[in-house]
Amino acid sequence: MNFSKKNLNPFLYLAILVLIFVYPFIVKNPFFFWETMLICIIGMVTMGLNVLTGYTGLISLGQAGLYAVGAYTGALLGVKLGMSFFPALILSTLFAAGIGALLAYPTIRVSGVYFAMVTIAFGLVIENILIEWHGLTKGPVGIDGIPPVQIGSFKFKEQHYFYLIALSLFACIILTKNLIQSKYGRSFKAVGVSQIGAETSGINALAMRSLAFIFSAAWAGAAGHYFAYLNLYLSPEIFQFDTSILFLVIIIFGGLGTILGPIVGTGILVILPEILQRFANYRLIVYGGLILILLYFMPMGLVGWLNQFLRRIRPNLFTARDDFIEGKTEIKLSEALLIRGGLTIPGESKVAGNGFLLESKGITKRFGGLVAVDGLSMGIKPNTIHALIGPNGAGKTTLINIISGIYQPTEGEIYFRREKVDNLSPSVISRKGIGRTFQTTQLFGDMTVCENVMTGFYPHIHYGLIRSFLQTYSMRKEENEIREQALELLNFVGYKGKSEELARNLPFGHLRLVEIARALALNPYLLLMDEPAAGLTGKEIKDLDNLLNNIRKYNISVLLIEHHVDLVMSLSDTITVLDYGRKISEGDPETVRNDPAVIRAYLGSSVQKG
Amino acid sequence: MMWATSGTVNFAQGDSVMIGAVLGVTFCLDKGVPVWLGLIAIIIICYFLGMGIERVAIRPFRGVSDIGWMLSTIAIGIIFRNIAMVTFGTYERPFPTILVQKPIYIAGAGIYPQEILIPIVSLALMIGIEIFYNRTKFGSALRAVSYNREAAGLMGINANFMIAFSYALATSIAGIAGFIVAPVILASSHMGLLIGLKGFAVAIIGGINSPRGTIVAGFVYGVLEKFIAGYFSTAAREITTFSLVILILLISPWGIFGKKRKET
Repeated sequence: MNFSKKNLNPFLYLAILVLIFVYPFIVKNPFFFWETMLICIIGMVTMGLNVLTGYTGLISLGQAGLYAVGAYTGALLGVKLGMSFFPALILSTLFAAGIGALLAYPTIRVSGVYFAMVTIAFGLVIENILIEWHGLTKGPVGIDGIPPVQIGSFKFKEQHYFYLIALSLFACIILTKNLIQSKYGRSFKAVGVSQIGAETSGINALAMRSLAFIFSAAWAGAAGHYFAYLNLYLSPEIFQFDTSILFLVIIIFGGLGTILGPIVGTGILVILPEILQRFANYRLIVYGGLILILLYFMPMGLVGWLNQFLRRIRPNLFTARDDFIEGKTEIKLSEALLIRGGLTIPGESKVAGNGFLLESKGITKRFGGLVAVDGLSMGIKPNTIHALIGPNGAGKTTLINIISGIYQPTEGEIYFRREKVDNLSPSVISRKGIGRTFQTTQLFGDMTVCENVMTGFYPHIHYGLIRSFLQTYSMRKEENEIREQALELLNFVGYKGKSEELARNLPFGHLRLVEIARALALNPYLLLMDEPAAGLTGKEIKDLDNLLNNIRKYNISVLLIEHHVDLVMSLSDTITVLDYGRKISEGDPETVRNDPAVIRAYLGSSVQKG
Repeated sequence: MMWATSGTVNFAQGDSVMIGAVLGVTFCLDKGVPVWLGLIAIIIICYFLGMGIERVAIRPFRGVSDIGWMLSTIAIGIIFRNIAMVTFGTYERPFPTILVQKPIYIAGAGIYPQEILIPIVSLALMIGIEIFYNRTKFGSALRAVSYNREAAGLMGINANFMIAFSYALATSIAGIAGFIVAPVILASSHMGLLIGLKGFAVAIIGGINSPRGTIVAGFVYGVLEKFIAGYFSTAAREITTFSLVILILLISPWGIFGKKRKET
């Protein structure tokens, strides 16, 4: 499948280019021709918006504002300064992207309705600046007299301008596709589905959201510029709140988070007003009704629906890969995988000095009046499995949330490899080499199993944004290596399902394994595991026991929260017992088992049983 | 309040205000219905309208996708606007009541009695909601739903009904608001959009789950708007106030009076 697709692409591209070339000769109707150009322009806006909303899940209701920024910048540079088309295009794109970057700063920290509100506010601010700033924008009257496009002495005819716009859209589609297929695309999706899951995989969620926002702003700006030189007239009412809604409706209609969705949606919805003309006074009722019907019956959009349909009639298309080495009980990881990122090399001691890989000093965490963790000091030795046990509510999960940076401790310090790591963000901490899994798994449901694990490699991937956009040979080579290594890790953890299955379709036991594989992809020194055995069957627990022993062989220490006593006793080198946020006992399994304080607080019945 | 119980916001709220205003003009001016009767009729109509909005636009999408209810309520707003346009006409219409016949002069600034009525009514509403929320069994059921929908369900509270009710209540309040502001700002079918967005902005600034914060923020916002519009222009007003919204969210992402929601 992958192979044939690779060979198919150049032909597809060529076909599209030919289509673009002949289009002006086929379509002679000037109205249709003009509408096609408008569709191409709106297509650029919605392609960008789809990266933001469809992938990172941020709903922008102010995209028309950015579109307006591009349009007015382009027009004013041409009208007032006499700047020629292409330099102005670059400037208006950059300017819109810059505004996007400025706006990203306040907006990315908030999500959901708050993000929507900020973008609405932004849209209204821009709209009213356009109305108010008479000196520059001529207010409600609008700008006219935008010069026609010209390079040197060559004057663009309508047909040439069409070529320019269509090729730009084509470039936009390719760049978007390349971006989405890179580590950035995976990170966008990851951030959209589970911010915590993404952060603990070493992805800086704020940076990814900013990037998506700036990308969408840049395309909105470029599209605005093209629009200015197509329409040759601009007025504030073109860029109202309703336009932002239209953009959003388009990408939902086409299919959120699909690459071709925005184009399909634009094609249909830009023509829609012409159809709605027939309903005259009732056209808004029909429009509103259509939005409702769309939301009820086709929430995935046209392309999303088509994808699902294809998946159903030809399951092989998406779940073809089934390449697992069966039957090995102990699987060795390849040298290449271990060397990636330069972190783990078998046999090398990872800690110099005092002997603790991770040390907490007097950690206290209060939630209002409740003290979840109370002055806890403990150390984790390298290459050990360290269990953290205690009754429910003892503060175990709170502690690993503090270690992984999700909570800030109220008091106390944490040192990891002799470096102070409290009060850092989860993504920074995970990059330092602390991976984790969750009690309720934080996988990315809309991504395949393989992609989930590949996301975990994020901090170790060398290629950057430029190579992602161009999808260079070295980038593709690295992606292939990562894919292979992701499969290798899946094999290592004993995942026997399909690698191209969507994570949300997995049974529970598989979810846990995939999450462990994703955490291992980070190549951590320390792995924090929150109740990995909860909900597993007896056989699966035995496999887990085996897997944890294997993990230890690769010099990865594990901090394990677990209620399953047999597993804890058989695996752990050291056990720390918490009760009401305090350490009540610590030592090897035998010591802890016989500690009266522990028996009183927690182990009592289990000890009698076993 | 809607946000608190259901975690969603109604973008058709502004258009509900518009409906209150438009119905007010239609009933009391065109049909000659007495003011008190018109107001009661509006409250009842908006109550059922709110129930309907919740059923059609919120319940199918609640907890599924944010984008779903955002767009569905926007769509409802668009439909309301169009219906009003067709039945009421596209023009702005004055709604003269006795309270706008003659301005009172206080320290040289003219003010209509109706404009004094507005803050009084909203203050009364705020106190009413506060009492309802904290003192009655029904109010505590609403709070329970907002705190934990499932647990409230287990206690025998019909969460769906509670959410629908909060929508009905909010829409009724919007209707009352429309009825009492119409004499001051003229009623028209397209007045709702900006009011709705401003209401949303105010709610966010005030802290979306704090009714007291919302009303306080609303007053401050209103006063600020008056001043800026007075000294500069209406467009300048929107620019400054909405820039302020962005700025406030930058400084305090959960509003001034809102508490940070625990992220899970």
